[in-house]
Amino acid sequence: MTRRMTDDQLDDLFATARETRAEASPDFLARVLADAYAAQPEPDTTPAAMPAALAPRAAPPGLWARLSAAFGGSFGLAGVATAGLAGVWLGFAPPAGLSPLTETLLPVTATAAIGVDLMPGLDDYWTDEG
Amino acid sequence: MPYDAHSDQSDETLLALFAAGDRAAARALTLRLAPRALAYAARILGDRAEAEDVAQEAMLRLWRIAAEWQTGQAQVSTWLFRVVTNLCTDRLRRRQRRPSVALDDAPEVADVQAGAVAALIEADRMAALQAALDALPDRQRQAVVLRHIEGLTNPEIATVMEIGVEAVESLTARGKRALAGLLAGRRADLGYEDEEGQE
Repeated sequence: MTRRMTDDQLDDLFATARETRAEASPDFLARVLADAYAAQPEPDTTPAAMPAALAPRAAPPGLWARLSAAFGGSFGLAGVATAGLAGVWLGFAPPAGLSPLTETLLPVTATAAIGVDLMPGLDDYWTDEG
Repeated sequence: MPYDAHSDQSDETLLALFAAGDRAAARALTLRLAPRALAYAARILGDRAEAEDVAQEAMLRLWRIAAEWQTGQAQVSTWLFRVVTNLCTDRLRRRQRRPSVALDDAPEVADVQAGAVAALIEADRMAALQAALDALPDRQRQAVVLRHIEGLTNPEIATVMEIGVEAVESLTARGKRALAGLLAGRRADLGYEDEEGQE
């Protein structure tokens, strides 16, 4: 009568088996890799083509993009910029520049005739209390 | 083969890179998974050429499913072992259906095992183990190899074999008992001296 293998002896055999696995030959690996390349799409490095987990995170929008969005796009932003420049120009322009316009709309003779003082002085607001 | 630059990345990450066209990922996955698939198939089939065919086919299925792989659905290696298991099972069934051996002429299971053990006389230790594994029922052999040679956990084996964990425990236990019996007569040749001299 023969004795059965013990668990320890079987485990020892299994350990040897783990160390002596069938080696993959270069030819076999080359065949597997050829299949891989054939099944693989052409390399595409555009972010949209990459899996979400692998795609680089998009950079946050810059100052220009945020301003443009806030004013309704680039046309809106251009309008705001023009208005700003006009304001600066009016601030620096001499007040006399308004006179021709005023005189055109309301000639001096007409204003004098109707008693309208377009540039009233402060003196008119000082009144004697006594 | 070029150096595996992706050695620290998970199988799942490599598979996503592969699907995006990364050729280095293809090489890394091939080097990492193909030898394991081959070794497992060789243990189950006991035939190197057939094992290479099975492992190559399993890897091809992996390449084809890469683009649709659902993150977190399963471990890539577990999925691959399952495919190899199924392909091996198909081949083993085809062997059993070979017309060269009529059903009435087929030897009894006990005869097959005795023949397998008798064939161990000139074999080395690993050949002895392989012959004994070959004599096990297919499912026992798969469970024993996955557990004790490939080192999978019982829940992983349950996923591979699509059975419950308790069934895995039962298969591995019965497989080990059967192996112990099959190899009993070879203890001295395997390097395990019989203290009682009962060979």
